[in-house]
Amino acid sequence: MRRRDFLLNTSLGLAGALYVPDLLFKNDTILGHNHKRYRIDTDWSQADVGRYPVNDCHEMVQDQKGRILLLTNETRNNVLIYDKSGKLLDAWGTEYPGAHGCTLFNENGTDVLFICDNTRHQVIKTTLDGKVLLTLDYPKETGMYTKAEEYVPTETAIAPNGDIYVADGYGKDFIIQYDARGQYIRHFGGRGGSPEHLLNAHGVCIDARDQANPCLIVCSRQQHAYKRFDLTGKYLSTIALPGAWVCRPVIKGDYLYAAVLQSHSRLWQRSGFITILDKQNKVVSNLAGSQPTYTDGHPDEMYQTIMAFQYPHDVCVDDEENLYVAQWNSGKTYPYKLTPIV
Amino acid sequence: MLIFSLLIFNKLSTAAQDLFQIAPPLWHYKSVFFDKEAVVTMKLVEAGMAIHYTLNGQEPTENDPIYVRPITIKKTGTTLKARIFGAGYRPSQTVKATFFAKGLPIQSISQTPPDPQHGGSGETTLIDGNGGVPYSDNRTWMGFQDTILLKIKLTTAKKVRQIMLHTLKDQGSWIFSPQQVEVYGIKDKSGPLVLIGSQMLDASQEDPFIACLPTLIEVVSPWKTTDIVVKIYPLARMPDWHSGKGKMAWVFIDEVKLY
Repeated sequence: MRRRDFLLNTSLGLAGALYVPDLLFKNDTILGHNHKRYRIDTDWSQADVGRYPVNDCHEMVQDQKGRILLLTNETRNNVLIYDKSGKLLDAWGTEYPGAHGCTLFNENGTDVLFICDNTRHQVIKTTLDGKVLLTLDYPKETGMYTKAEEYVPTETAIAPNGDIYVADGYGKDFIIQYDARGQYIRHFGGRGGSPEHLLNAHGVCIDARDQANPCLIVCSRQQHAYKRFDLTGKYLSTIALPGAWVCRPVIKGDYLYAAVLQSHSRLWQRSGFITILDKQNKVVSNLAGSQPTYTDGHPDEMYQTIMAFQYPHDVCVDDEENLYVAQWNSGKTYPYKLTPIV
Repeated sequence: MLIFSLLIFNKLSTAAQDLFQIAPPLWHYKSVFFDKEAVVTMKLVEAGMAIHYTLNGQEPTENDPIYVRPITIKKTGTTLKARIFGAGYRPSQTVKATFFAKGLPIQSISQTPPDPQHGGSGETTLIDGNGGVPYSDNRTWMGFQDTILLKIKLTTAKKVRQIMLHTLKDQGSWIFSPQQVEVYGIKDKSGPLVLIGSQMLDASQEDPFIACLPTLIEVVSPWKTTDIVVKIYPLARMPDWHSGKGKMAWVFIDEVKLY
């Protein structure tokens, strides 16, 4: 139940409550560690739940205009567009029953979206108002798939040259690379016992924090790790995050932000949190999660400490360093907003 | 005035940290079944919070000891309960585990075949001393959706006074407590099975928490035997409040012990 509903249901009518000074209600829970601490607002969305419902809130991005776009698998409105204060500006999309991955790319000055649909087994490139520009079907060119159902894409990352990397995170865990027109180039990853193999390649992003050596960071979520590859798919290294079911990495400035769907120590018990890594990929803060500690240079097991989130699925970092957290399977809750403590 | 106070209370209870509950403690132990002793370690490094625990079965309060070092348990049947308090948040749920000593030496066990997806770690799963992790995918568990027969052979003839059956309760995954357990003994090698103990359990009560559930069945008049048979009846029909209502529930077992 959302907090707003909770208030309405429990206070027997608001008339009496109006006498209580406002400052007592202030929702000022502060989460996180070190210099990455945030005030959480669970009531950010002002969308009318009757008209603009959500199901799983899978991913969020910010466009050039500063608007916040949310992708949900609710086919009454797959895309909800907000301003930063939570006011709903626009909504579109009825054709994406398995809407899961949402990546924004600035294509020669124009923002475009890449939607991964789990149910349609496709990646769809659209304009920001929903016009379809390109559709990628299952990658038979790889020789690894015999039918569409084997391919369940969860995420895309777009390189500066327009190359599209698709993570088949709920299918065969390959990363499939296409050029900007959708022509197959190569694939890598997949399952197996070697370091370059992936298990639940749920997310992928381009990491250009080291501008001379941009790379890909890919989730291997059930191995509680990220794996780094160069842009041609050569395996570079593993970032171990023990205990954390990490969703897609989101790079902003020198930091990597990610939703942790759940803690391995409490599987399927709404044990998620948010993790933040610095430029050296060292964990500096866990929002609603354990204080980051290292033993002999290796991170200790991470786990939820405050039940502020249920199953967080993505983090969006806006131009003012605020965070927005979208959640999967969490009672159809709208996203939360977190404001940095400076 | 009372109503007004309640209104304020309701408002306050949703303000600030009170909006959120602390997550249950993270703890580790090798198994809840031990030879000499069991050691439990817990972890918490958050400022302003502390783990409080009890070993007497009571619900932990802020007056109970704070966890500072690993806890050693040597007495069979000891229940450890732990809960985190502090930093202005609502206290966590309590985690609990009950620890059991080795019991009478068992030579072998055979049982109704488990579900192939939940076959445990092989034929000694139920007597290997590993278990007590309340997670149904863990290979310490055997899962059944049928009446279960366990045939247990002791190394030498012993007086069996008590049987401990260790099961899982995870109602969201259709795993309930059994509704009845019966224990049979054989007096002579060729003799008939004689009912020597039984227990009815309240399986259909709703409980959202996932937990291990030890059941102790007393033997009415013990005699020396090498053979014990345990018959376990799953809940025949899941209750109306459950999404699987009317269907037979699952029973998960990770260990059986004789005392």
